[in-house]
Amino acid sequence: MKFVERDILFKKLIAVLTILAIASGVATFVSLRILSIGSRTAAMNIVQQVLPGEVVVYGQGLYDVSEDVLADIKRLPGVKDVTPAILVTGYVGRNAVFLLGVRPEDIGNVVSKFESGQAFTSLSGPYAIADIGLAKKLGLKVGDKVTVKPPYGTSFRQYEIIGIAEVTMKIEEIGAAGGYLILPLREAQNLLGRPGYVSMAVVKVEDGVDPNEVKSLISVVFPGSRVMLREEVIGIVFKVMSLIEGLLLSTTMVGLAVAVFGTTSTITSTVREHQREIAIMRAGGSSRRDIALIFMLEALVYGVAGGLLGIVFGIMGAQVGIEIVASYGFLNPPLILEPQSLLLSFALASILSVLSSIYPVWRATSIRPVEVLKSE
Amino acid sequence: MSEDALVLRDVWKIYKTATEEIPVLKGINLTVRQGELAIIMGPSGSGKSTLLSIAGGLENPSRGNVIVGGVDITNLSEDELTKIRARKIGFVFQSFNLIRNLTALENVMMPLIFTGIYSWKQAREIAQKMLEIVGLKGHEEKFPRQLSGGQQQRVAIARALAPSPDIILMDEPTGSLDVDSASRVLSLVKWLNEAFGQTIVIVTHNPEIAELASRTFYIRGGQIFEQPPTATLADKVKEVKASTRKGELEKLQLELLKIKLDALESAAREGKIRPEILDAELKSLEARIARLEKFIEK
Repeated sequence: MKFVERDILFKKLIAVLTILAIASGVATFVSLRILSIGSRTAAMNIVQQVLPGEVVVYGQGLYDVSEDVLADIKRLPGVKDVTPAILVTGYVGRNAVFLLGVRPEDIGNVVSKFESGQAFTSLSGPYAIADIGLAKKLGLKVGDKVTVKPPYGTSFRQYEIIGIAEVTMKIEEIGAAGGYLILPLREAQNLLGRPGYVSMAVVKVEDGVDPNEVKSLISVVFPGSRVMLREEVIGIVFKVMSLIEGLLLSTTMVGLAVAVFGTTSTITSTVREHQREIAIMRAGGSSRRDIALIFMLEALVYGVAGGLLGIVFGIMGAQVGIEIVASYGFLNPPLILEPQSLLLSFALASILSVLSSIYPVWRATSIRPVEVLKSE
Repeated sequence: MSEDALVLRDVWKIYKTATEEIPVLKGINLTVRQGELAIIMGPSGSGKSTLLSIAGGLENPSRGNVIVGGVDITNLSEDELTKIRARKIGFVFQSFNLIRNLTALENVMMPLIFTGIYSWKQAREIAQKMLEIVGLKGHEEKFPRQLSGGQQQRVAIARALAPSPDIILMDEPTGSLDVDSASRVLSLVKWLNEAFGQTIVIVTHNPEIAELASRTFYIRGGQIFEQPPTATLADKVKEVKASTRKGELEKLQLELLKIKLDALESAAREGKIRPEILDAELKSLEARIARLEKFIEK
């Protein structure tokens, strides 16, 4: 151990660089993992909060789910409640925004808290609630009037901002730069020129009823509709997130490969440096195992130090990442430190470091004791 | 119980290249008794280091047997040989060969730990005593770079001595030391041999060391003798001369010089050599040719 300790202290710079190489790989892994767990949790919370039911019904087009059909669905056995909603893109001036049409009783599902102002109380009326991001972007405050255009056509309407709130239903905003404007359901239908139609409905089933059965029933009553379980929606969200995570993890692999290469190279140079001393030790009675242990221990020290440092850097990086993601305004992932992930990254650093020392260790154990005399 | 610390029986070492076999040791028979200080003398390339490596179990002989402290180590597995080396054989090298990352004390402790029979505490106690014996008390925590050459060699001797081996093999132990340090190290070696009864074999080409020996062996051309070889360098010259006919080499040399003379003259004609340099070279060459011609005429 002292041999290893002094060897590391002797070549400070190389040792520090090796540890940093491992730490950077581990840090990337840890921060992505934390970010991914946080984002998944946030996304799941949002979906669960936004979709106050187990089954989601979409039409074929953008907003072609008839409220009459919803009334039929509500009468189906096992259905407790049906929540209609409109979610389309529109414009406030030249800015693309999401227009969300909901009933007053459903506002609690899409808004977590009001920064200022209040919610609307009727199904219609020229009122709107802006989300904090949009209000900041457009400099909106309670009492301001905004002109809103639907995605198609040249019609427009004016609404008064009666509240500025934090909108939880932000997962849909991935891929769009704007914010949210919440309108009373009827106002949204009138703006789109589709009275009596919504873009989606969330169906809550009775306790003890299998949501799958309700899903099948809805498909029969409303043929041509897209009916999904909430878990399927979450699954799709997670699938997209997994794809992004996969791409990001491949970057981590590059980082880890660099760490492995760095460790191999450092231990190889250590072995080369101590070639003569290895021969001396072998001549003095040390076994191949003793020699292997010395250099594997050195690699393990790099792995452990790099792993621990990487976890610290990773958590710091994740914190920064979370702040960046939150600043975009669509997700507010919590910082969740999953012990298994941290343990996995630490184990990964330690094991990979030891594995990366196999080739130089093999070289070290192949040094014959007689070399000590040949180098005289 | 064997009285012999080291026995080499008809030991051969033959190195094989792609095209030929080079015998370095040719049937060495050597017995060093317990408590002896044996010196093996020989010039470079005589095979003394090979002999040492085979005697110390660092290399296997091509043929023959090596017995250390009564144990035939010739056909032992690598693991067994490693253990035997740790317990029965100590080495001292010309370049001290201390581990630079370890202190003097840790260097001496190292072979004790490798034997696998001592605890760290025991190893530390023994190492401290050994350093005291070689006169390095108070230097225990120093690293090799903080010690002089002589002190480093004394640490190396303490290291070799620590596991109480049957035999200590030394390869040119004073080769890297100044005269004063060398004499102190040699006195220590002699004292250890006499006071501890430690069997020591030294290979060297330094005839002064032979004064310490209980017995001296001479190695020449892969063979070992107990008497100094009688053939001198003058005898070798005579041998070479006898292998050629009289005047034959001189005639050859004369021919070569004449060819060089022609080449120089031709180079001068082509302007490849500056005339003043050519003039001096031609004079020197003509003088050498004249001297050789006179010699051949005689």
